[in-house]
Amino acid sequence: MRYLDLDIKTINEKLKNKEIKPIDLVNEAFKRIEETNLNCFITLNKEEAIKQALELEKQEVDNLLFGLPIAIKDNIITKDLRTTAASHILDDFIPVYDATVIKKIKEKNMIIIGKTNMDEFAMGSTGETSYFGNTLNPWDKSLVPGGSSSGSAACVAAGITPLSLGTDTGGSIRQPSSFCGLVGLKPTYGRVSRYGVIAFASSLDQVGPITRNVYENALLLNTISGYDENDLTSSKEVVKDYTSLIDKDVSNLKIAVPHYYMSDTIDKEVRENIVKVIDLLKNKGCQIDYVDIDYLEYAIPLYQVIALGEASSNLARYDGVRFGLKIDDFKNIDELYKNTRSQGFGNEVKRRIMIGSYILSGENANIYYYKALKLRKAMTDSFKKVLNKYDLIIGPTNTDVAYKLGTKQDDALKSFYDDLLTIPVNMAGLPALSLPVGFKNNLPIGMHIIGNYFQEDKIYQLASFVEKELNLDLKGVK
Amino acid sequence: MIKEEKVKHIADLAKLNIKDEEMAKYQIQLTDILSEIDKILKVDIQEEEIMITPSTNQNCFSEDVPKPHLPKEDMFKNAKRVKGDYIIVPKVIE
Repeated sequence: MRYLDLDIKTINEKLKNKEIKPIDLVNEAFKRIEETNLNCFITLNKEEAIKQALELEKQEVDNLLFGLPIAIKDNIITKDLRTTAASHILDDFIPVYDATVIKKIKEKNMIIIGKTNMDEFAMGSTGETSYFGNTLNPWDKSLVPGGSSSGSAACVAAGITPLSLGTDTGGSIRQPSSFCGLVGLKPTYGRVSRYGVIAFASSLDQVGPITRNVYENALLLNTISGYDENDLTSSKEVVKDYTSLIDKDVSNLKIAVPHYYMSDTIDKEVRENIVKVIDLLKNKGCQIDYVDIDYLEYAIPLYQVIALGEASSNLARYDGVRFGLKIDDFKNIDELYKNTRSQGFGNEVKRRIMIGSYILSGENANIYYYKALKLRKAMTDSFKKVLNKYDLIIGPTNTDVAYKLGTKQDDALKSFYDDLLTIPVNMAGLPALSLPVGFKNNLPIGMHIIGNYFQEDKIYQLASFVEKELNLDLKGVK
Repeated sequence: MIKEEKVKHIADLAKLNIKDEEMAKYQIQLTDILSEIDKILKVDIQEEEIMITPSTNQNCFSEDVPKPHLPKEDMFKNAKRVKGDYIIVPKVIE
């Protein structure tokens, strides 16, 4: 019997009545890592995890997440545990403090199993830009698991841990969750502290939970949410119990479906699956209307300006001086910078910081960046207009299901186009979730549920209803 | 397609070296992305307002009280060239 396949409430009962101990769960997780061989992890925390599990035997089981193994994306810093952001430039970096979300995880006595593989600095949509090799999709090892939170998704789908943390700048939680048949949420911007998260694009980045089901996702969001004086963009908005609307009646919900999310660009079978859910909701009594949201067609170039501009600034700190890769071959400070960065960064990252530096340089800042800020405002207003009339927006998470590793690797635009439907949400700072709603060629299809600011509870309300109605068999993992 | 000089200029802005054998690849890829970005220049937006961040926080002041900070040993832990209380860097003034 595999305890980690059980739902969290059942595991919790077994921990409480001493049928199992945290060490059983930890041992099972590490055994599963070896059995599955998916390259989900960059660094394992085995010794420390075992030590913690044994110490927890002396403590009372005081919350639902107690003693559970969790995997953490490797761009979230963990004290004394190597954190690389999947980059050569940080491959010996040992953080000296914990990110705020890590403190919160530790307060619940969850056990960190390891740091998960990802696209380098979260730049990519397949996991393939990692310095530490590809993560494999547990549904089919010849396919990408999605990215950039590739390892965090693959490890939950493979049953290694029931929960993981990812980060989402343009779709990096929702896209791999969709490709791996999981529930993944990008919270409202500011809901979760970014303190200790290795920055990619600071006005877009959010940490969020990746789980096997809706309830467990809400439970983990409850834990990581909240204002943090170390992150001045974190919100003082009251942290709700995000599980509170789960299983509540959805028949009064008003739902919008943007035409853009159901256009010919999206695979036909994916659209058909979304239509099935729409029919299901209509039968339940929900009001569903197709709507237009202006400027969505510019989301990718908008993202390129905002995200890459911010990235070029954030990644300027990797200079070979205070931390990171050591290069001995230099004659002056400029050579130290250039030689360190040229050897330390991979191609995707180099390309992105070059574009970012360029569009922010001199007069370009006025031409490109300022225009992008106006466009961002206009697109956000367009979302707000729809969300003033509707509770939620739905559509597909991705244009298609998972595809072969190695596809179109030379295409500099591919990773951006993979995030066609997820990027607009980060631009507006709204919360959104991906939920498995069907299959194409036995591979999971994700549905996108976008909510109004700080209304994650309503997203979970709809998601839990659809999850229950469809009752999909998501154990197709090989 | 953007010229080699422009690729070199852009790489210089980002503090990166470009090898000769990488030049052709970067010319194509940077051209592709910059052409994509040019699309936003054509968008007609009436409003003048801008949005820098989704955060609505205003004037986040901290209490002016001393707080514990990381010990010096921790600060230097990941630096590779350290002497006493200093990190060694190449000479930056002539």
